[in-house]
Amino acid sequence: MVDYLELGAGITPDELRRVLIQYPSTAAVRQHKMRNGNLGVIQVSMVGVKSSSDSSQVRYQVLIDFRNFPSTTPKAFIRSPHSSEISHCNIHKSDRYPLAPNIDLCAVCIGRYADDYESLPEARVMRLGCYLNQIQYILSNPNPNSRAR
Amino acid sequence: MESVTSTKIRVGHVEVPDYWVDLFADSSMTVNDVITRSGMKPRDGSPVNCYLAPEGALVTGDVDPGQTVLVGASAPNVKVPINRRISPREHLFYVKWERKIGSDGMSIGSGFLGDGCTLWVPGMEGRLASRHKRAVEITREVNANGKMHAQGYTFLNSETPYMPGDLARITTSGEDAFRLYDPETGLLSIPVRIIHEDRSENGDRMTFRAAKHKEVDYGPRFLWGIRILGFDTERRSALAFVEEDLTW
Repeated sequence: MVDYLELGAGITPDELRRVLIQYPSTAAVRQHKMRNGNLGVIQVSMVGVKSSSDSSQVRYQVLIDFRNFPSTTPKAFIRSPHSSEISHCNIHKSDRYPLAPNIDLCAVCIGRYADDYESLPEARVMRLGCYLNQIQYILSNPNPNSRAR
Repeated sequence: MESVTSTKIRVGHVEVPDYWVDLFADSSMTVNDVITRSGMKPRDGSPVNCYLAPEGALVTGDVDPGQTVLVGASAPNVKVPINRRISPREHLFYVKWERKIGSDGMSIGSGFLGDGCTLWVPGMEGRLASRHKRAVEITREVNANGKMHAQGYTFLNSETPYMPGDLARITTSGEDAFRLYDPETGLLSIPVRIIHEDRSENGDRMTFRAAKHKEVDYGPRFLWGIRILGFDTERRSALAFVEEDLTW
């Protein structure tokens, strides 16, 4: 059996196909294709809510940095809507990140989830699924007790 | 006597060839129910349909127990048999057994993958067994007894994944036909040209034309076994001939 680190950092094309089942609009960011053939960054479209007091649906374009997956918690950033249009309390205000230095991105606050992620079993598909579930959960259920803006 | 009517609906996905979910149902289900209960309802709002396997026809009514359907945003490619759809998957596996095939020093090695599937890869006699090999799985089938068998081939994890003399397999229909796995892209993206003329000294290399003629007599083969003659690292393309003993 291929060890969970054997397939290397990033997500494999096969793992991307699994993501496509629930998020068919997912696309890999070509510039971040890794030398081992894996994908470092993907863009996922997720439907969340506007804010804790407004449950109207908002489509968030989420860039997820998987370059250190599966050993380290991935990082998620909102690419659109623009920071000024975001009211979700768990999304930071825009900043520039090495991931895409020319684009304003808003980091998603995952609270203490990094600890939970690192205690997950060493199974790639499970870690990938759990992380995506967590981001989806945050976007759908704003937590005013852990404000990022 | 007990009736043997099926009580399950088998649900696969157009994009993920080896992903199957069995829904237990004693009556017909609506397409929406099938998509939702199989866990294949997109969470980003993308529309998906149900396609009947293996015909690929869009299901507009109900799905009956015993039927197999595929969920996806677009219709499946029906040229490729439903259970032999391509999903290249890289493995590092231990070749446990090896058996000789043909008369040219070739053998087939096999070993278990982590999920209980047996992967079969061609190679040269004496160079497979009891070794760890990096290989790609290109097709997988489930036998009547439930045992899974995958077909694939080995490659080198370097800039030049295939060397002259290496054995591999290519499919002859579908989107990825006549393409080899490229570890740099993780896809079947290396085009393979099969020789049109045998210029070897002993004239024992099977050309594209000869293989097509043999298919007329022995039936078409979805997988052709090939031997690499050359690999162009700049264009990332390969030249090969058909290995008869590996194909028929």
